[in-house]
Amino acid sequence: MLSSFTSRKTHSSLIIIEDNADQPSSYLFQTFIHNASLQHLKVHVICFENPVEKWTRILNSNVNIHDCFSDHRGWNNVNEENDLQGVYQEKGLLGVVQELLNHGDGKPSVVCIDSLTPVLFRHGLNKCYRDLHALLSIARKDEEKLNQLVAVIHEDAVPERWDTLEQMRHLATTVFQIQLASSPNSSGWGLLHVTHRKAGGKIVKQVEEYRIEKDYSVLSREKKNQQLEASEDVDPTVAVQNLTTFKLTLNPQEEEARSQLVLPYTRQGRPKGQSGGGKVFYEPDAADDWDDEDPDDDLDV
Amino acid sequence: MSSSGSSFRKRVGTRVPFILGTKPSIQNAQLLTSTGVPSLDTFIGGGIPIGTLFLIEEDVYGNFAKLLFKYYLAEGVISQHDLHVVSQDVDPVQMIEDLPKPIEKANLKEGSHFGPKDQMNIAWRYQNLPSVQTEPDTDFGHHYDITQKMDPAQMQKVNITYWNADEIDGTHLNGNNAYYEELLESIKQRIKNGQFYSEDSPKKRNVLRIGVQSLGSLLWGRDSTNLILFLYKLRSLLQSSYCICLLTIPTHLIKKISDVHRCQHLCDTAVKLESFAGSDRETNPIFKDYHGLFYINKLPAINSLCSHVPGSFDLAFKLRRKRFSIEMLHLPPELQETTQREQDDFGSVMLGCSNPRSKTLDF
Repeated sequence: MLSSFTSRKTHSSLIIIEDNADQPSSYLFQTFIHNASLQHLKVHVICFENPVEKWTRILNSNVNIHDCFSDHRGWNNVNEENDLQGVYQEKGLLGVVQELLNHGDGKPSVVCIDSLTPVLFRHGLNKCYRDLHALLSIARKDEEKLNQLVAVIHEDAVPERWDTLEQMRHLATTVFQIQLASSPNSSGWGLLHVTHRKAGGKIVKQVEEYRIEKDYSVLSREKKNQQLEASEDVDPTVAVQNLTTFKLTLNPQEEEARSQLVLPYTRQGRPKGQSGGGKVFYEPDAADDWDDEDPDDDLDV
Repeated sequence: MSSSGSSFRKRVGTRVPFILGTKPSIQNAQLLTSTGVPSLDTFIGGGIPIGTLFLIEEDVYGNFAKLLFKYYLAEGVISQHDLHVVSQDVDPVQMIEDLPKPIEKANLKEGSHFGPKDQMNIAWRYQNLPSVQTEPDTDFGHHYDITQKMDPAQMQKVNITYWNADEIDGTHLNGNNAYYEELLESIKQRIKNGQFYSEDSPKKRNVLRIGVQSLGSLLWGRDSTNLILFLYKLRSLLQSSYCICLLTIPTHLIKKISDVHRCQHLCDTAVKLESFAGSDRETNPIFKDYHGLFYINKLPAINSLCSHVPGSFDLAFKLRRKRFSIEMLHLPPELQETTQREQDDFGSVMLGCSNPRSKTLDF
C-alpha cells in the first residue's frame, strides 16, 4: 500500500509521517519528494529543521528548496523583499505556503515540510493546526493549486505529545507511523502502520513491511499477524446428519404423525362431563383409601 | 391508563401554536420536532423538545456525526424552519449544498407481521405480535437518500444563515475566547432578528434550527473552560426562545474526561456515536450487521421529574442508502466456533470425551 502512495496512484491531500529518533524517516521523505519531482508537479521543500545543503546534495535540481532554518526569526535579514523567513516569523506556516503558491507557474504544487516540530514549538499547536487545516481546505478545494502536503512529525519530540499527535492524526488524510521492526529476520525491511481515509469515508488500516531501494523505488508487503488467523470453521457443506449415528431427520410418515399430535394445554374443546362453576370431579383410583366417615365424629366438644 | 370511566378530558391545542414540522409530545405538552432520523426520534421520546440543546459526541473519524448533522439540517429545510449553520471544520455553504434528498412516503415498505403460512403451533402466543423492528411513525420525520442531493429550489424557500470564523482574530481577549463570544453574539442577533424569543409575537411562528458542527475542536482554541461556559450561556438563550440547537463535539480529542462529562451535563440531550470503521470491531462477526454503537448518555426532563425511558440502552446504528436506522443491539446466534474462543493449537477440535481422531460425535 505504501508503494501506491509513493507512486502517487493513491491521492492523499495531507500525509503525515511520524517517526522517532530510532526510526528516522528521512529516506522515506526523500522518496516522496523524488517521485513527485519526476511528475509534472512543482515540488517545494521547506526546511525548518535541517540546513538547505542537506537536501540540495541529494535531490533533483527541479525541486525548490526553501530555507526557514538558518534564520527563522528573521534577525539577520532586515530588508523586506524575498524574505521567506520574515514571512514565517510573522504569519507562520500558512503565510509561507501561501507565498510559495502565489509564485506558482500553473503547475500543481506539492509542499513537503521537513519537520513540523520547530513550527509547533515556535507558533504553538493552535496556530499550527489552524494553518494546516487552512492548507488542507485549499488542497481539497483546488487540487490544481495545491495538490498535496507531506509533513514529518517526530513523535518523540513534540510539545504535549498526547494531545498533539492525536490532533494531527485527526486532521491528516493519511498517517504513516514508522515502527521498530521487531522480528530478527526483517533484514532491511522496515515496519510501518498506515491509516488512510478514503474519499468515500472508509478507513483503511494496515501494518506493512517496506523497503526502499537506491533508486527510490518502494517495495511494500502487508505483514500478516500470525495469531489472528481465523480458526477452521465448521465446513457448512458437511451435512449435520453425517456426524452422528443418531437419526436426526423425519420421514414423511413421522412428520404427519407429528402434525397430528395433540398438544397439552391448547384449547381442544371441553372434556366430557360439562358443568359450570368450579365443581371438583374426583375419581379415586385403586390405591386410594376412601373412608366415608367423618373424622370429626369422635370429638367430644 | 384509560379514562373512559371519568369525565377527564385532556386540554389540547389551546396555547401551543401550530408550527410546521412540530408536534406536541404525548407525555407532556412539550412541542417536539424531528431530528431527521425517525428511529432516533422514537428513542429520545418522540423528538427534540423546542428550546433545548442536543449534543452528539462524534465518532473518531467523524463521518457519521456529519451525516446526522446533514439529516438534521435537511429536516429543517423540509419543515421550512429557519437554519443557522455554523462550522469551522468544513465550509457550511458546501454542507448545505450536499444535503440529502428526502424520500417520498409512498415508497416506503411497511413492517410486516408474521404471514399466515407461519402458523405457529407451539409458540402460538407470539403469532400476533409484529416482527422485531416496527416501522416508526413516519408522519413525523422523513427518510433521506444520501446518494442524491436535495433540490436547490426547496432550499431557496428557507432562510439559511451561516457563520464562519474567517474575520475573527483568534487571540484571547481578557481570558475569553473570541470565537465563542462572536458565535454567541451572532446567535443572539439571529434570534432577535427573526423574532424567535418566546415573548415576541411575530405574524407566523417558526422554529430556528441552529447547527454547530465540530464545536470544541482545536480550531476553536484548546479551551475547555470557555467551551463549557459557552454551552451554559447558549442553553439559557435557547430556553427562552423557539430554537433548537444541535452540536457535534469531537469528545475523543478532549483529554480531560471531566470536561466531557460537564459538556454532557450542560446539554439537554446527549448521545454518542462509536463507529466500527478502522477498529477491529469491524471484522468482529457479532457486529457484522451494524456500522457502530449508539449510546444515549442523557435525556431531557423538562418541566417534569423524569425523562422518557427508551426500551433499551444497548443500541446500534446501521446506515443504508435510503435509511439510517438506530435499533436495539441484537447479537446473532452463536452457531459455531468463532475466532474469539481460544482455539487450541493442536489442529483438531476436542469436544468433551469424543474420539479425537474421528470427526463423528459418539456418545
